[in-house]
Amino acid sequence: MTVPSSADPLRVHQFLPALSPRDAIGAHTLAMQRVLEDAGLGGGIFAAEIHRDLRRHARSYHDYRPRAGDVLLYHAAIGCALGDWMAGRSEPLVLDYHNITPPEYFEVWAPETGLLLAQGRAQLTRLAPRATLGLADSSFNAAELDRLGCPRTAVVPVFIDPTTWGALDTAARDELLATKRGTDWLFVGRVAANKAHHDLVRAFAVHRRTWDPHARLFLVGGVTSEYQYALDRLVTRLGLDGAVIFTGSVTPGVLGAHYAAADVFVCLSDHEGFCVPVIEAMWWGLPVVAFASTAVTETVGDAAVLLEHKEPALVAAAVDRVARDAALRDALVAAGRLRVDHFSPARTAATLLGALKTLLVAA
Amino acid sequence: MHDEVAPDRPDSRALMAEIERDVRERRRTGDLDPDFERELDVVFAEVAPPGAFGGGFDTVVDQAARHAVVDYDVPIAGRRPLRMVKRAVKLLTAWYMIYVGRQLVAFASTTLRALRILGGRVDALEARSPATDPRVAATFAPVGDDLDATPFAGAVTQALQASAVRGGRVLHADCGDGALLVALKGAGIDVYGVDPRSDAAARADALGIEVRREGALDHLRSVPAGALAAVVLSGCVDRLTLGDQIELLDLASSALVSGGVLALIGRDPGAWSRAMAPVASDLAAGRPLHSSTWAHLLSSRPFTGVRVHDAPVSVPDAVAASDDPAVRALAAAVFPPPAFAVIALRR
Repeated sequence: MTVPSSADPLRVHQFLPALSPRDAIGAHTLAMQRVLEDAGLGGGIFAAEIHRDLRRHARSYHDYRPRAGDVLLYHAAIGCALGDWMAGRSEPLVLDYHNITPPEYFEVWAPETGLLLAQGRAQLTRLAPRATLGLADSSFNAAELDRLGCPRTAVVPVFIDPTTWGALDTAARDELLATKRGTDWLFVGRVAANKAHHDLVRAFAVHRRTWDPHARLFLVGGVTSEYQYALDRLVTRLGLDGAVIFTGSVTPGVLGAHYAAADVFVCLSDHEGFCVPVIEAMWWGLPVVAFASTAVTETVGDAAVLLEHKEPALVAAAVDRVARDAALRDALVAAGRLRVDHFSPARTAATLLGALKTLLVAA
Repeated sequence: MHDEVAPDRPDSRALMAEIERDVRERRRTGDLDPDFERELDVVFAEVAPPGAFGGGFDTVVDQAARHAVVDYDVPIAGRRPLRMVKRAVKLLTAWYMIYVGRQLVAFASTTLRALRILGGRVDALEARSPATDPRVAATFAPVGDDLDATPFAGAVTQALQASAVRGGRVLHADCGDGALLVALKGAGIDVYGVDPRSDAAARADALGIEVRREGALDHLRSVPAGALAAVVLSGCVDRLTLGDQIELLDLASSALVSGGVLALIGRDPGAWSRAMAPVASDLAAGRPLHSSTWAHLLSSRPFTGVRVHDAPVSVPDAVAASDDPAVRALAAAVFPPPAFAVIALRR
């Protein structure tokens, strides 16, 4: 083990499977890098895969050269060869756990992804006991690290910095507003079974049939797997072609347009380690209706209509209530804005540095 | 940064109650089409691939077998120059792809064969287990009538009032026609029930009680940890197999807030076996546990203050009037309490 002496400056090097734009972990890593550099702790960013637009920010992890005083911070979110490489390192390790979705959600729809997630969980099991510190986006994630034997954990939320989102695409927003005839539902997230798009479609079908025949459901997010194919068939079977719109991955400006034009953000995910989009929605002044699962409950706090179960009629009735009741809507929007402040970058930076202070003391 | 102060937050419990009332009212008036709701329950399962919703061992193995077949016919669609290149690569590498592919298929088919042999052995084991053998399950006829849980409403209410928990929802599973929930609601307690039988749930609906058409185990698996002030379990506790009874206990424990109340309302095993036809009781997949067994299980979990409440016993007048200790002892042996409630507090 490389033991740092008082003469060795402490440097925190970040490692992650993939550094990509339009990705919560990628944005989090870059924001964390700025905080570490400002605090005089900045090392490098090393990744297994680096998007070409971000190559100036990071290098391949094979290029890492150890020095005394190095601390390695690994962003755990999926399995990859880098996870095994980390397990073989002797430097002090900080785990930043962003949650690894249970592979069962993917085994049928995207078996390859399921295998990577299983690999990620196996790697996490090995890394957690030997980490000096475990950072977690939520208490839900921290509890998992605790169960795996991580000796010390701290909750440090994902960095959410609206100043990096870019300009709103006003043309896209105006188009959405011009074509609106009823309540517009919105959900943002990769089309994957753990996010339960099928439950959204089913609840939306009840809402259209019983409450609002002109409602639309916008599902924004990249597409993977056979799950999308099944959703397409579900939409057709329920006669919702044209009313349920899968946008695929969109630019930040178009994403902003969807937040700005929608009436209610609905999240029925079965498994989330944090769920950044609900905070984005709150920032845009959208009221949130969410199923109380995993980390969603603590992320939304008291700023959303939280559903204990997601029977389609109940979800539909909740959305209708939020859309119709101006006082409720105003209260949710105002509470949402306070919730956004709770996750401000400055506050998250202070929490991060507070957690890392334990390392500084040890060094 | 947002400087405004949030107006008064809505009372989330009252809001959810209003939303649920809206749903119930629309069901009652026919605005919500029950056929459509039923269709929604099955339509996604129909368009999803086999195994997406369980589907059993054989379904998933069949799906694996489909994936085990390597497709050598690589698609070469594209614009003309690119298509030509793809076609050339395909032809030039065909021998290699087939060579590697055959090894993969051999490995996959051997693994699948091993899985099917293993499946057959598990089937044979299950056939020897009364809890899982469908032939035994088909023979078993459960007791038709529900256990009347209302005699224990007072004990549950008292336990809730004595606990440190204020507010919070109370779940009753299986709630049957909702009679206990009506009694608890009358005491000002926020209640809801679950019951998988639509006819029973419909009767509870008619009483203005929120009831979800779901089994106790399925429902408790979806309840977030610490979400409930109290859990009352009846019916299911007498019907489930021992493994499921213990899982039910653990799920209820997880769903309860610290200080919350768990009430297990069950039939006395002796009374149960007397009420059952011999064939049905002998072949039942699950059977009631004694109150002392539930108390033992609770004391080995994070519960405290375990108390057993017996239901009133009806004995012949002559026996009831007797002061003779021997007669009373004999009566206790011959006429045990037909039901009991074991009540405990979550630590």
